[in-house]
Amino acid sequence: MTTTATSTDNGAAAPTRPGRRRAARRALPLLVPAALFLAAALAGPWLAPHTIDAPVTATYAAAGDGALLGGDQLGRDVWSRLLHGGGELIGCAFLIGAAVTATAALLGCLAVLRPRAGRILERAADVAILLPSVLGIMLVALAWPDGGRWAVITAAVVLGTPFAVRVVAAAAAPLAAAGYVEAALMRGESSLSITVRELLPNLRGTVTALFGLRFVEAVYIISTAAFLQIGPQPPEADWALMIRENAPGILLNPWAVLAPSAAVALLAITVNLATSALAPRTQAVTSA
Amino acid sequence: MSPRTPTRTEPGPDDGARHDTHADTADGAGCDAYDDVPHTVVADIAGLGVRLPGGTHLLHPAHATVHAGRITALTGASGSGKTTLLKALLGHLPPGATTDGTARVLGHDVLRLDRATLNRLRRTELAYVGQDPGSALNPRMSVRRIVAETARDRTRQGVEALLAECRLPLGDGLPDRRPGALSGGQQRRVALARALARNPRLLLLDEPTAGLDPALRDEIAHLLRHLADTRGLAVLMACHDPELVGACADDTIALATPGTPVQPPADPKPARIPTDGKPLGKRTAPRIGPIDVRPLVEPVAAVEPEHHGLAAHRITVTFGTGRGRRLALDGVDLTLPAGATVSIVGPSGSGKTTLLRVLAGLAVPDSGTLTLDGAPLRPAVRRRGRDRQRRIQLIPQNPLATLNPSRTVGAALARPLALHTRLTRGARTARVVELLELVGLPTAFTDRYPAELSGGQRQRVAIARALAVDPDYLLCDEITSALDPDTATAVMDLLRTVCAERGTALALVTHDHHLAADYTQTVHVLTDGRLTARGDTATLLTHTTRVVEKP
Amino acid sequence: MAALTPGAAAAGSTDPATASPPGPARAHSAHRAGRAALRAGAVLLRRTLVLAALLAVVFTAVEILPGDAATATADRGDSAAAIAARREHLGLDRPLWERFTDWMTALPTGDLGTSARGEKVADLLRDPFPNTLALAGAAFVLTVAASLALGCLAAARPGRRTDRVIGHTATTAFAIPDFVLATGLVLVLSLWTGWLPAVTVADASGKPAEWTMMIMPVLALAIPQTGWNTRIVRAALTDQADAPHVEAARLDGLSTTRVLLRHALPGALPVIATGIATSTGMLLGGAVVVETLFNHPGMGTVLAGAVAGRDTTLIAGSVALAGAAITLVLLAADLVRAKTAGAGR
Repeated sequence: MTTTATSTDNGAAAPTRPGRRRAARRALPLLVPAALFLAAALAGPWLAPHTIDAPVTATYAAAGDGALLGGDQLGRDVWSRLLHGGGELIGCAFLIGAAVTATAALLGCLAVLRPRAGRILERAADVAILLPSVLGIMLVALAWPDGGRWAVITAAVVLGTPFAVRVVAAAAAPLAAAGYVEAALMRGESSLSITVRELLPNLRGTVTALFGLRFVEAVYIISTAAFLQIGPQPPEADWALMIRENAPGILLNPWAVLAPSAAVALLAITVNLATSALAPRTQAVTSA
Repeated sequence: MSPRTPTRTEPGPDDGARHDTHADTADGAGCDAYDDVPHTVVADIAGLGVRLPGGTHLLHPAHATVHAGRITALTGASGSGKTTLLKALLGHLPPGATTDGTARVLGHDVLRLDRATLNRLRRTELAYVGQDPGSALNPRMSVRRIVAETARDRTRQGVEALLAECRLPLGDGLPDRRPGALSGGQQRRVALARALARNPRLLLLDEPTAGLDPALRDEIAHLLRHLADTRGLAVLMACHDPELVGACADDTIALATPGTPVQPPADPKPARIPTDGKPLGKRTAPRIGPIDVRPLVEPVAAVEPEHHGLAAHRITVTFGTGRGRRLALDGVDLTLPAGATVSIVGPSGSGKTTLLRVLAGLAVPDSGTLTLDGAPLRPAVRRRGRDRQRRIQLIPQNPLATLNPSRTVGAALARPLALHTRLTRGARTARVVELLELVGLPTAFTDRYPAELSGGQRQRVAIARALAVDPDYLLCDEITSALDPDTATAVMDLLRTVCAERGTALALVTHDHHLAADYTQTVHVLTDGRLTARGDTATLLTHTTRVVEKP
Repeated sequence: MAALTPGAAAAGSTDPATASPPGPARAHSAHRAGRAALRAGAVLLRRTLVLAALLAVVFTAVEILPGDAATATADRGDSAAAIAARREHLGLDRPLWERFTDWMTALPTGDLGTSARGEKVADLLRDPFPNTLALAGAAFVLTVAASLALGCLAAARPGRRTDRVIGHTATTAFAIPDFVLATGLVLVLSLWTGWLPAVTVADASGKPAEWTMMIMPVLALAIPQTGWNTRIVRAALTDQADAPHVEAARLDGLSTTRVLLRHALPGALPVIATGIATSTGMLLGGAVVVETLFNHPGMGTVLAGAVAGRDTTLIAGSVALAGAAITLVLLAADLVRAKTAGAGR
């Protein structure tokens, strides 16, 4: 592929607005579950019948009898703890997702407009690929013992950004050869201005999908960290922590493990399906 | 004859002197009754038309009959649906296309055939070789495997016999190489061998000699003749090359150009094989007869950079690295004097767009210098400084991408003003209205998005955007190649008028010699990255009514 | 039609006669082999440098952030002097650059440094690391096989129900964190049905006593990654479906399966290889987490202890091992890419 090719044969054009509306309608059935689940998880603390640290029943008591989902390892109400346990996870995941997406959107466009910066960012992604995120989080948590949640958030942002930059750069590359970007270069616009005015408005689909993906990834990282007891500490109610704490009593009261597991899984799944609905469609296959 | 009615001449006498029976489609003169040679009809097309969902015609209703043992040429301007017709015979239509009439191949109605039968037909009776056979060969398979995949006889001998029949050398290990290691002519013959391997009854060829030199073209013509005669193969070839038609066709079918504008197919990858002046995938509607360029006797001498104007001196640009490295421009000079009009013409792949991008500062040359009014000009636009950035503006090629789809026309026009002038917001709005009026668009267009504009309207907005900063030099890259002829003329007339009024110099890259002749004073002809001719358009581009004879 | 007289003939100079004749076949292939070796060496060097860069970053990050092994392992009552003595004992008082070069130069010899408790990191990891590698490796093989099969199945029926079901299932699968999936698997396959052992028991050699103990950890790791890679395979095949030679193969009347496997898949392999190689990190990291749940005798147990004991060297050593393993997979992916790049000259 030569430079001439990219400069002369660019067919990149945003879908027309009616087309966008049609796509939105198709995506709706996949967006609603995510919205409902997020709303329920955030409203949870106000709906909980008990506080998170008051024992109300026997250790690993079975479901029913004043505790909808039974008791946990200290006889606390699993249902109440479940309702409390989502807010912070969702909040942190949102923060990580937003930070990674915003950084990647800017850096990804910069990588395309400035090839030299692009090569450096590409190398950074090569390096980041070699560090499993779980190990990365352990490292940060170790080196920053009092970091708590912030250590996890920092680690997740640093580790997630290089990959996200690649995604944005790949989507922005064809746009960078579009006539309107070249016209902007010709009149002397700065890279930041081109990014904000010309590129990002046409990358809405990619950026939205990226945010969803990073949110899901953040849920994975935060919950895994919590499971490894990095971040939230007992007696906090946290879904991942609940899974770990109640695992020994899984036979006595399976709900104490199953309910938080299902909550984490549902959070990730609903958001991921919503993301896939918002993602720009790949070209339909035209079969002969 | 009605321009919309495709004609078919009757075959000439089948006396073996086929080379001079190539038909003149004008009047069907010279059609004698032919001998009682049995003519098996292999394909029969009755009123076949193809339309896209939007109503644009890819193919106007056409009639054709293809006989066994005969070569039928399909002629017509680009955009007349030659490829569409060939693919329709394979039962392949663009997604969503609707058809009129019928296409029968070997007794099957191919457009209404179930998948299994259609696949069997394609696999055993039909064969198609496309315009760019090099890209149609699997780059990861050896020649031997490519040919064997569709062959009836998959033995080593069988495959090599086929390769030999297509006059490919066997001695130097060619059968074990991959397509990437072959020349363009070899790739074409491998594609032909693969097509023939299934021993088809109908061979469909799309521009079988595009980009080949005369010697090779004659060889292909002989090969086709040989195949038709010895195998009783029916050949239908889309062809714009009168030499080839003359050399081997028994029958000729001329297709009319559909009146409705056809969306040009996406431009294929830049051909490594430069085509013989034929713009690939671009729609041209010649308004006058064909044009040829007088050969240049003297080599082009270097010019001294002028003191008033934009000049490029000894520009060399290479693409790729290592083995894939090739010269896009080789020591090219170009001067665009202030207020002048200059065109750069040449076939696709000749480097004309690259040259324009070098002037624009969007491509950085490997060597060579740029000057503006005699002073050195930085090669990268980013480093040229605000005022020089203002003085040179570009109008991009593709009307679909020339405007940001997410921003209104008003925003697109106001932005250059905000960047380069000190106008207040109110003054900018007033200026946007003036600019729209200047390019002949209604002022209500300020709130429109590009998706709501036609291609011509978008190019007008692009002109207004470039003029907003009052540039001295306007660089235009094939700005009318995707527009229909009337719109193209209107856009070019507008450009000529506004540039003349403001004294703006115009550099026009085009593959269309008429455009160059009509709108510019000086023409530069590029071939394979070299400047092969330069001079006054009136003397260099001469209007003739016939295609120039090949040497 | 416009025709250029000069140069038109030259433009078509693609005749084999004018193309440079290839040299003697043997010299040609030797030349090619030399070139390939050179390229392979360059790739190897680049990957090694990237690994070294990662280790440098890890080492520096650990140093810059507050807290070190001496304070971390100190007991609450230790005096400042005691901590300083510990620091000196562990060599933490030497300059950063010196410690880094010492650590880095020792790595190739298999010396991963000394843990905060004074033990050799290499000794601590000698038994658990192969177990983790086996777990992640088995999950990797399963992921490759399953995602190729499912991706091809979906691509063979574009837009139909199979395609949609596979697509949504894949999206669902890769969202579930592996430890959540593992919990669910234990509940269903072990506690409710009793089919599989819930906990891994190590035998005398430190390996899992029975192969059935591997099933659930491997599934928990492979299912999310299969979801992710199925989508990559599907997307890569979709891109290839538009390639001219795939279109030509379809017009040649070849069967859907043949077009997919012989013509589309080879071109999609570079993208697929990159995607799957990217999964290696997720598999290794996930293995560490899932191991703690199943009590699998791998790195998970060691690292959990390292986190609790604030043992930075131990974790840095693990990062080095994991990075080396991932580098090997990336090199394999480079090989696949080079083989299928298509230039094939």
